[in-house]
Amino acid sequence: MIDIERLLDQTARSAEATPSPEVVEADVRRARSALLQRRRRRAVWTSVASTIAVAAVIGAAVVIGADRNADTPTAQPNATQPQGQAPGDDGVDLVTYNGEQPPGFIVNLVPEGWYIQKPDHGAYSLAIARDGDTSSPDAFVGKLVVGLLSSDASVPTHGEPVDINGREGVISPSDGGVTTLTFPYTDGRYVQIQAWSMADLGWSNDQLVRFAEGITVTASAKAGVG
Amino acid sequence: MRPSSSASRDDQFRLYVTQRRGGLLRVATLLSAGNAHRAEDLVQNVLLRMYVSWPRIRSDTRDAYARKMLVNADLDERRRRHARVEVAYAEVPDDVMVEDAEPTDTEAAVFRALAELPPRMRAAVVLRHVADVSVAETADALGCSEGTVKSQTARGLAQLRTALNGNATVERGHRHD
Repeated sequence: MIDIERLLDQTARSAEATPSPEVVEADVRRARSALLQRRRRRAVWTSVASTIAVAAVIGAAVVIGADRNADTPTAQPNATQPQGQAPGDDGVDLVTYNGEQPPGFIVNLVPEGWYIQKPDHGAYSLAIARDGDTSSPDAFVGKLVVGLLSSDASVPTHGEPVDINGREGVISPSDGGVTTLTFPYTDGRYVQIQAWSMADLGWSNDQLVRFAEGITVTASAKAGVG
Repeated sequence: MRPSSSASRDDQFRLYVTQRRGGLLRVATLLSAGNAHRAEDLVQNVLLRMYVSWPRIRSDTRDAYARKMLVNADLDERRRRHARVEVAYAEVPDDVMVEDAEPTDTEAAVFRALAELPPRMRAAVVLRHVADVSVAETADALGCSEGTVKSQTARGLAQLRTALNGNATVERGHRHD
């Protein structure tokens, strides 16, 4: 009778040899090059986002000017919607989540002082809210929302590319203060995270990525429709 | 003078590659059922992605992170394989690192048997019984429950046993060990 575990243990041992300095340096060189490319893509994306923001401000100014010309009292519009890029490292920390896990997903990290709301309708999506927020789990404003991409929705391609556990996801432009991260999961389905909003959390895209990397989708997760 | 952050990243990464590349390459070789070129591609891909994300990866989770990325890269590559279009390069790419080490007859038989397993089952077997990863970490890497890991591993080992029992080369080599 073959001891299969021992056989496996003895297979491909030669691959384990310590790499030569040339191999190591080639890895470093490739990695530096990949980082440089990523920074270039990021710079292009930031430039596009800034252009859109400037256009929005100019558009708002034109509307205000037209209103003033009409001598109509008008509420001052919000100066700018929060962009995907948030203030930096001083935002809400991510901490390990030890509470009860929701159906459909396993969440490893949550913002400190936040909790997972028990979903009303099973394993379609889950809302993570601040302590003290007792609004319905179906109300998403001010929360982090995790779900599968709707079965009738197309995968977003426009936005900042990010790496989620070795897979390429995309952070879509902030829309109405909501930042959306979409990425493929191991089983071929797509996970979508909405942050309402990054500015409230004081998060950068990197923190959203860290949060996403702590998400596990279980077999019971269901994609909504519409 | 304090080293710059990129020098620090390079130094840490260089040390990590020196210490861990071999282990990752072995896991990748088994995930690839003995295809050394594919294994090398997977490892190179994982290492450069790790470098890009280096500041976000805690030092105590680097190995788990690398294994998760390796499994993801393996499964993704298999999924894309049918749709792959061959790309012609004007020049031969540099940094060709793979030196084909001929597998022994026993290794070749094990690779053939591994190739017959479904990819996720093979990954479960390799992580548990080659990389010596816990059930919980294997479940995390594969994005499934611990129960699924246990059942996939048990079925995988049983299939390998069936495939290799009766293989004269393996049994002969095994007796000599």
